[in-house]
Amino acid sequence: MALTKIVSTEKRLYSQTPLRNAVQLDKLKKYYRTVLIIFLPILFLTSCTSEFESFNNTAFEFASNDKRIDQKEFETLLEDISNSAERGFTQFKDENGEINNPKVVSYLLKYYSAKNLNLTEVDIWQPESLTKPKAFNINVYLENSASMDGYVTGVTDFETAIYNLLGDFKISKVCDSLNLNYINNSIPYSKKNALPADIQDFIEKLEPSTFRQKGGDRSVSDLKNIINTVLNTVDDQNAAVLISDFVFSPGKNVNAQDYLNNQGVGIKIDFAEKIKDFDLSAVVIQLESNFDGVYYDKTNKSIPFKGKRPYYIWIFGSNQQISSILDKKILDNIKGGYLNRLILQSIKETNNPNYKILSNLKIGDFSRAELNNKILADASLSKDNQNKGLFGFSIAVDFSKSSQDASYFLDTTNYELSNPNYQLEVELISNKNDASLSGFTHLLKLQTSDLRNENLEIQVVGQTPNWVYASSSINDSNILNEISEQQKTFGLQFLIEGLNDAFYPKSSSNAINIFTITIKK
Amino acid sequence: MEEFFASLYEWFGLNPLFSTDMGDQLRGWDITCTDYIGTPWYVIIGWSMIAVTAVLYALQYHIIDSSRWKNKTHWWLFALIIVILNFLIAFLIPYNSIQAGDYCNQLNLSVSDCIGFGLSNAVWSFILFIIITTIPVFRKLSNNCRHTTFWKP
Amino acid sequence: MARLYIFAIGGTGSRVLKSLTMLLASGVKPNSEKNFEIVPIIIDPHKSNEDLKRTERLLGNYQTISNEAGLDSGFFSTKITTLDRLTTSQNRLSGSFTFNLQEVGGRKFSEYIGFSQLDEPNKALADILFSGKSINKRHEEVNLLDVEMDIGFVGNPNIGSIVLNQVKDSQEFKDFASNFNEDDRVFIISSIFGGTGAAGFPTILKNIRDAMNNRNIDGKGFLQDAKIGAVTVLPYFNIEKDSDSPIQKSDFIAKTKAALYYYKDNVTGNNSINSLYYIADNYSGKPYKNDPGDNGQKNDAHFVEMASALAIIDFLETPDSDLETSEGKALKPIYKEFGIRKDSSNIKFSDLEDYTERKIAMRLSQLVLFRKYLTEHLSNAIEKEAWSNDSPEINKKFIDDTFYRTNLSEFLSSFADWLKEMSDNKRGFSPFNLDSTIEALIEGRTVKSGWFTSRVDFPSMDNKLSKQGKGKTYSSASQKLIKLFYDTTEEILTSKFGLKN
Repeated sequence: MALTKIVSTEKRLYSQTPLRNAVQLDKLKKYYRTVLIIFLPILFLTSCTSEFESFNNTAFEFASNDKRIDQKEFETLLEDISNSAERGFTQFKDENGEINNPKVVSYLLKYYSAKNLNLTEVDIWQPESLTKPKAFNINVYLENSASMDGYVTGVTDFETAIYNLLGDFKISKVCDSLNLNYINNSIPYSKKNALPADIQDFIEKLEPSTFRQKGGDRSVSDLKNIINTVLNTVDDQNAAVLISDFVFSPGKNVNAQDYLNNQGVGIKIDFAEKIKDFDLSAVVIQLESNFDGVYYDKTNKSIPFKGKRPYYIWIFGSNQQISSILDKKILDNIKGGYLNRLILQSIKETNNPNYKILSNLKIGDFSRAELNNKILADASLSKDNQNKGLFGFSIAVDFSKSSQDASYFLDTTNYELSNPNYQLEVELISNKNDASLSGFTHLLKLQTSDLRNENLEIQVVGQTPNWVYASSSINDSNILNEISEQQKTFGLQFLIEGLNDAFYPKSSSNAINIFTITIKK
Repeated sequence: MEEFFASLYEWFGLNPLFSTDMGDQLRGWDITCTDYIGTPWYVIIGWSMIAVTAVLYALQYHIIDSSRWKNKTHWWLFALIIVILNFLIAFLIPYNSIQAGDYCNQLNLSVSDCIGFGLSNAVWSFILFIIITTIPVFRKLSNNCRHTTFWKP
Repeated sequence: MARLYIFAIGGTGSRVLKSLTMLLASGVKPNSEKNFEIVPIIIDPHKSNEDLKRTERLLGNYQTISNEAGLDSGFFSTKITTLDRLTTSQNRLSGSFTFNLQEVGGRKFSEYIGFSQLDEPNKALADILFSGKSINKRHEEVNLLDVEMDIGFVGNPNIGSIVLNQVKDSQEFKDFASNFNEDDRVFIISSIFGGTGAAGFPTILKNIRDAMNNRNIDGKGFLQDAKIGAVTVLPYFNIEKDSDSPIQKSDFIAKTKAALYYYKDNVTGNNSINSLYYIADNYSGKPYKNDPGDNGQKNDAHFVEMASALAIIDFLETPDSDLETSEGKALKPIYKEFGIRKDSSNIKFSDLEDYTERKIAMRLSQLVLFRKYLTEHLSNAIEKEAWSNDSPEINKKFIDDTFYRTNLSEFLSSFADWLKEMSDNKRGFSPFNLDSTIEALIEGRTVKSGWFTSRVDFPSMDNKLSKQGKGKTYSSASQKLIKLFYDTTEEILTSKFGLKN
């Protein structure tokens, strides 16, 4: 029995003790646990980026590769935007959640500029807008009453400018067909579908003799009539261009003041009627030409005159037609340039331009948290010595898509503020390198000592600009002797005011653009 | 989550340690100065602070877990490492952004802001380490350090 | 719980009992389903016997520690009780382990037997039976009859057997008998060459087997058929030649022979004993001082004593079926001897046979490691290490308490002395390098090294202690100290040193 006992114990002696194995296993487990504990947090941190950040990174990569964004890259980015509901992407979408491509482009440009990658708008592919603009004709009406003779004697700036304009209309393909007409009390001459040769012919024949020859009643300019006639030709497929000196001729036995008033009212009514059913836009440009001929004053007295005289080109059309013409920059390229411009548009559908409250350039203090929603939160007055008791902020606005001239928006009289205690200053944005201001054209600076909780409304209003009053005359009899009179047009302000009143009636708001800023203390 | 970490770091009072502009940058004021859609640094640095503290705690108490590293002097040594690491993380990240110009140009950021933020992160990590090691819940799982705190053994 | 009554007779008995105590303290346990409670009864008239005193104190400390530690703490897990605790009788003796031999102190043998009152024929008989000379404690030559007995029977078992016969009439024997149950066993330790032992063994054996005829006791009747084991220790040491001493080495062999003859008729020959263990050593090594007992017989611990203690363990492992007794006779008596693998003068664990090694190597090493930690490192660790700060706390207050300061420290100090004595003795037993580093603790064993292993030193011990103690509950700080170190030392020795149990 003892022997067997020894054998069995020997067996036990030489078998592996599970204890030793357990100890080694424990050490291994500890080793792997260490590795895991160090690894996981690193993994977690590196994977923790927002979708917006990865969008930014992708966009940066695309741009730095070849300094362009081609169609495939742009569409990839669009996909990223539409797939994510993150906060950063809301700036690209309209209220209905659809992607607004220009906003995407403008953000990308700003981002690249901030990252010191200089891309411009042409480097980014954009989808063609689906709606092709409707084709339309342009009917050109040249007033050929007697007062116009002085502009066409010999070769004048007038002829050069008109030639240039017509040629550009044709070349730019902005219109289907270009129709050329003379007009006074009637339309004595028409050339439909003018070809370049016809235009050349038209211009070459711009002489008093041709005017006389083409006839019509050349004696009197009933501006209201002329304008109305032209206005009636404007529709979806027809825009109109009216070229004239726009000088009222009341006549000898007529009270000039009454006449002017009546004309003004008449014009207003005509335009108002048109605007009721049609989204009319009107462009008025004032140009100058050398004049050698007879000037008929308000009493129709003939005054021979040689010198520089203003004349006007009016363009009527739908908002879209006028936008097309303006986009092609035809007017800006007029030979010799123009003195002033006025644009009026019926306020039915206006796209509010892009604007942003700047987080710096402030007097006093406010929180950045809700700036994107156009809210100034935690606003407070300034405490430093320079600006004690004042509160101020700046808004950058993109007026580039507006029909109006950039200078229109520099004129603070064109603004109305809901709180009259605010002072406004406007300046152009000139620093092209500042990424935060990229995509904006004007800087509106507001300042007040009356800080309260309110929704501050800043309206850009349409009204008769100053140059009209400066160019308007009410008594042109002494034109030979008064140099200032020579640059003026008799009764201009009544004309334009009539126009203005039609577009922006006093009964309702004449705001072209409205910016609302919520201020919370 | 952003608000939690933001209020944590700004709890000491923004201006004593770092400026409001730095606060906005850390919240994620983006490079085009539009909105808080940039990198949310508060969250990232906040989580890294928690992670670094937790890892070093685990290192002393559970991985090394040795009788030779259990005294309160060792606790203070690890606390020092934690504080230094977290200071560096919180300092270097905005410092790099400043050097690279990678931030909205309307913000005024300076190196002292980076230092202040680094200090804030360091202080919080120190507090977190104290909390983790004072409550017995975690350390009682350790073999040798289950009684190790900053005041004993 | 079953009991093992151990009669430890004479100096050898005390020393073997001491070895047994050390083994039990280290956690050596018999491989048996039954748990035994040990009841030692030391029989030695030699009251000033230093060995006796040491053993008594040791047993006292063991009891205190064991009570604190309980039965499941590894070390000190076998209960050792005094006889008096078992009795319900009114004549309770003081709680000592020693059998109080009556009328022995200071008396001459002649007075004991009432020599002077004997008539002439009996006197003559006595003269013959107890003839010869002896030397008393004052180194004077006296007649054997006039020898004073308080130093034992100085190598005269003939005197001893007369005196020890009083055992059967004693209160202790009465208590012993009345408490003896069917499951209990008896073990008798004696030497064959000495005075007390040689006489006492057969006497006690006879008294137990003859219990039925003993009117003194009202036992349960189990005594007669009790399972009795014994170890008889034959000469194993050398003593100096001293002509003034009544004890001479040359007498040892003669007396051994004579005793063996006697046993042949009265112990082995008549099947009185169930299991008899013999142990001897013919190593003629370093002699002991020849001290009959007056200066306090203080012999160094010897390996043979520990081996004898192993006989007790073996006896407990023997199943009941092998120890059947009927009408006072063992049906299948067993006789055993002890052997080692290699005859070296300084025994290490590898010199022992496998079973012996596996029985004691791990446990003794555990106790050694335990002691080493306590003496060299504990004061550095308390109140700092996790295991000491866990509840129940082991702190400076604990260290100053009696349990640690007196009981445990004294016991472990005795343990260290015991090991050292055995190590210095010849034949020596030196499996440990007590003063070395932990890694070199066990002679002939190196610490296992591997991929992820670290050194074995006190800090790594602290690691293991803290790990072992995590989440465990202990009934008291003392119990925690014992059990925690038992578990941890076992783990260290198994994993690092490769010891197996």
